[in-house]
Amino acid sequence: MAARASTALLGGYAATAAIATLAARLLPGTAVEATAWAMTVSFLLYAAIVLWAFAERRLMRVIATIWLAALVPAGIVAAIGLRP
Amino acid sequence: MTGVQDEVPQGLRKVMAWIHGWLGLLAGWMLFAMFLTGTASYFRPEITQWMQPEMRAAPVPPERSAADAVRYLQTLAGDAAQWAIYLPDTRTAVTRAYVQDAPPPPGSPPKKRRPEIVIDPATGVQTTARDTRGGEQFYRFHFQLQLPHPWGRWLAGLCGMFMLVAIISGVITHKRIFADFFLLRWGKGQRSWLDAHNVSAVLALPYHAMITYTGLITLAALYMPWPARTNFPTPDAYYRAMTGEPPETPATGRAVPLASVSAMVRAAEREWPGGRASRLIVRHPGDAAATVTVVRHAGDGMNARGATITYAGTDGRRLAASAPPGAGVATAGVMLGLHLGSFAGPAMRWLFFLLGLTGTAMVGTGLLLWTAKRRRPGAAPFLGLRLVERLNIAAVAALPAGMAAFLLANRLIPAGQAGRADTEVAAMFWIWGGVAVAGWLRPARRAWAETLALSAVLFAAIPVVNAITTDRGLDRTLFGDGDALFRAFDLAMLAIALLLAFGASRAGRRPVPARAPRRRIERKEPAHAG
Amino acid sequence: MLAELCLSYCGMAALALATYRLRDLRPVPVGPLRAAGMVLLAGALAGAVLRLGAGQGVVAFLATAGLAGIALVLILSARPRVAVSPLLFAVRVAGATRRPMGTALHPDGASAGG
Repeated sequence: MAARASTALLGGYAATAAIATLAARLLPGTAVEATAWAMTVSFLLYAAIVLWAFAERRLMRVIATIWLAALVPAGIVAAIGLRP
Repeated sequence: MTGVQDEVPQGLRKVMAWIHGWLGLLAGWMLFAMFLTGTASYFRPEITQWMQPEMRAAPVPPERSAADAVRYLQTLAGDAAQWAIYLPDTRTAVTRAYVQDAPPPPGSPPKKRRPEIVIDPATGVQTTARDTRGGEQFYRFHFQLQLPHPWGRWLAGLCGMFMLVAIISGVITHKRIFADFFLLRWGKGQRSWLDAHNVSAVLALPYHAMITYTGLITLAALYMPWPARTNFPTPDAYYRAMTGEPPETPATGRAVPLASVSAMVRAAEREWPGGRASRLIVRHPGDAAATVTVVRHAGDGMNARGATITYAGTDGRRLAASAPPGAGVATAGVMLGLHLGSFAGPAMRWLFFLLGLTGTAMVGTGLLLWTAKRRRPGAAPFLGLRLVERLNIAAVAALPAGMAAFLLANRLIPAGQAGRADTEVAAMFWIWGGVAVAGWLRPARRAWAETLALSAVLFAAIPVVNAITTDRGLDRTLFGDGDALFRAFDLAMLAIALLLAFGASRAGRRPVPARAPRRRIERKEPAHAG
Repeated sequence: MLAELCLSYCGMAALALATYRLRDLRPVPVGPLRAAGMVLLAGALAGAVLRLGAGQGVVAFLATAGLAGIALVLILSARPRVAVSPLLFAVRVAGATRRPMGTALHPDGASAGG
């Protein structure tokens, strides 16, 4: 239970930040537009992740998916660097 | 089973109900305070006006107030790095200014942040009205929770996320939304609280969802800075890209007097048909590289981030203007406008205020529903229930007392006393805490009734104390002319007092014990004639 | 704004009367009640949008309709007949402009058909 809650709260936040950052980096258009969209939608994404973390029965699946969703996009952003 | 549930239940609706209950409980007390103070903040400038009764400012055209402010700031802080000047508008008669000093030479201690400067537009210098935080106190508490930066904002953001998830889970879990859409039963204990929670939540659902989400967006730069860090070299660069201000130019060190800001304000308003200038940002005043950015009023449209036009400080040359924002930036700006309600006229603002009270009721009824569901007649309440009940009283019934104490302190503390602004704030928290603790010494039902009654008395006292200590009380304003704001404010305090008194009287009623259903006694009736 | 408030209130009242709990107060069957409710609410929305433009109009409508609904529920919980009386009055007036057997009032006073 504590594992699920902390994964949802902290892991979910990390995943949201990572996905939003990757989206801001890759979305076409001007930098300010991509950033604004990514930041605006991120809260809805976080809410969805938290709800899924409790709705999904298998705890291992929750932990694995969320932390993967946090590390992979963060890794990609680190690899491709800042927006030119 | 009473108390903590360790396992998440199965089934989508059950899970959503479980999430909804826990998140609602954990964040409920703070959310109640955020909703109540946030609702009060819809009238932030009006509260500030009421709290400075000495100020009877007549409206002054923005060009003149801008020029006066600049003249005054030149005497006060001529070598500052930046002045931010907030011009008067229909709701705020004064000019407010914030000074950002230049960083001190290396080796010297950092300069303390200067407090807000309030300029009386009639005199052109600092106002002599009593020092007070005014409506700012409720406004800042609403998103900072009286905690040091950034902890308050983070906690408020966490509560906001809890609220967002609670709303979504509440919608998913609510069966048969339309069948009980209009149902409200009084005096039926748990069922009444559930009805009240449903009614206040569902009928104003668009508002609650909007206010929660847009609230998170207002501090998105704090909660989600990484997209901006990836796309812009500094946070300031992202801010400038959003507002359309030109890049920063460092000071040259050559002193050149500032050109007429009145002309700049007039020029900007000419470029914006029907628009108003609301703010000036003067960078490096008195320097050769000075710039003056005129910002359009947030209430001129739904996007609260007004357009900007930047002029050179030395000769008033037009340097740059913000381009019309793209869809993403405009969306964020409209969300900000929706949260602040800056576009709203007086009637719409009252609607927002009532909707805010509805949201406050939604959170409050939710908290009371939690305890009502778990109370067992005849059985002693378990520790968790006792704790939640006491926190409910402290958060719901005692907070209004604290807010009333803030307003009463404003009238009771002498106008010239040093540090009175801080004393007013202290009064709010000492009374809030004191009333809450006093309630803990009483049995729960009596505590509810007495605390609500005390809050009602304190609110009713506000117009009385106002009439005694100032010459702008209801005895003069009720049938007089021209002091509409003070009249409306005092009457609103009485209305709130009545509402709290009603709550107190209902809370004090003995609950009707549940009767066993009466058994029907078979009676043999004589057959009717005809 | 006042007109939109009244339209919203009556629209909500119509929808309320269409619910099971208030079936004893219905002046007309459920179908027409629901339709009338939707029409009245749509009218309030249209009024707000025409007055304020699309964005502000939708916001104003949602605010007015929600608060009208809450006011209705509060009055309904205490005095159901009083709560729906404005709508019942409007229905009575609408009914009085019709001749019996569904013939409409003809401009020159003569009735079309029997």
